[in-house]
Amino acid sequence: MLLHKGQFFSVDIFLSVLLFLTILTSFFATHSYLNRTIESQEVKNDMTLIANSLSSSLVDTGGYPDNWETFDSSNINKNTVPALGLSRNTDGGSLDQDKVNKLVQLNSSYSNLKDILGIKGGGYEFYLKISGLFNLEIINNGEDYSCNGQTINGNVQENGNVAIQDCTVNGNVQVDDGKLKILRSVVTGNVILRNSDLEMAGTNVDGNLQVNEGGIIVVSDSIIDGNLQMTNGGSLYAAGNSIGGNLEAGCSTTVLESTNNDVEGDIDLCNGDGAYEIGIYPGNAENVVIVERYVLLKGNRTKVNLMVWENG
Amino acid sequence: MGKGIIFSLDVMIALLLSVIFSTFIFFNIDQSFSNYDELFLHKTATDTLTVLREDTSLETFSNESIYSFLNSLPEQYCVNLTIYDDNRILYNALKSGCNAEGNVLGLGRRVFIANSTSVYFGEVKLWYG
Repeated sequence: MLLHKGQFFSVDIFLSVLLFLTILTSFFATHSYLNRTIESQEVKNDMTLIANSLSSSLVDTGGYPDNWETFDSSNINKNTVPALGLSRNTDGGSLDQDKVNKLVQLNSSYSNLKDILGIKGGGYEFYLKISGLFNLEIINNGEDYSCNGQTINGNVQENGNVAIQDCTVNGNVQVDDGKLKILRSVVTGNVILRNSDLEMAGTNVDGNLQVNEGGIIVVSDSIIDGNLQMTNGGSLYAAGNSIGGNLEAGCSTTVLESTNNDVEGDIDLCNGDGAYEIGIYPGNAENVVIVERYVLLKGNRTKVNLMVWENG
Repeated sequence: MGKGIIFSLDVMIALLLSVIFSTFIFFNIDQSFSNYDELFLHKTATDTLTVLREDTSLETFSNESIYSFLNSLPEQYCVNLTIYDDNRILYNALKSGCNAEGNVLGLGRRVFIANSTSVYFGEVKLWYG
């Protein structure tokens, strides 16, 4: 009788404890999940508010005092300049070149700049990029020559439009008076253009990329073992390339943007790199808040890209 | 034995309710937070009007210049610019590659003067394409 009662009692307790532990574990798991979610969201909200107010302050105001860009860089701190602003007027929409230049100078003391901008706590960092706004799309009106996934032994030479995708060209590619679109390909020789537009991405060029009387030249994420050289006009956008030789663009060439290029030789861009970078680039940081603003700078349409991110 | 079964059912119902309640919280917790993306899209819409106003594209109704700006905006954005003269649509420009108006998330409006005296009303709607 006692043995029978004891066995029944044990199962009852066992079930009760099991249920209790299940509920307790669920409770703690839920609690932990909610805590992490709320904490992560709070950090994101915090960074969003910083990014939002910072972009408004920089783009929509001229700062305080209004002539802060005339101060000596060494005298600029959060006491002498309580608010930094880049706008030419209180209406916004247009940046002052002198203020942009001064901000770039202040970047040499990043911690001081962060202090002036009011970015505090939480391991927050910022990155600001001011670059030209342009439409990089090259309208293709059909091809006079195309290659898709083939190997070409010999030169490709065309007066007109050329499209090369996923191809290997064992020779030179030369295009006159047309458009060249070359994606994910290999050229063992040189790429030579005259009076032509170029869209090149993910391509290896063993020789030089030489552009004369260029149109719009867009080169991204490519490897050029030789020189990238532009002469006699044209507009250049070059980003994320590895260049074994020199990167050269004469004074008649408009540099839309030249950023994140790994150049082994000399960089000789008469008109600068077309972009201003301030702060620390977030790289692969997980928590990044991005605000994009659009303004005019010296009459040119310009994109202001602000990133606030969490370090570690 | 009978008492045990009643107790088990009781617990089962309580557990079921707990699971339903927890699931409800899990799936709704994200929606309870503020979404600031729309704030940034609103800024982009406002900036669009400001830049086009500042570089005189709006007042000259420059088709090429307006489309050039709209098409240079990030690929994921769809933008529609409408200019009204009173209640009449005077001009409309839709970013290339965008079709029907989606769920508008960013809205910018401003009044501007063109042809010296005429007052027009510009509106930019922005959504994810």
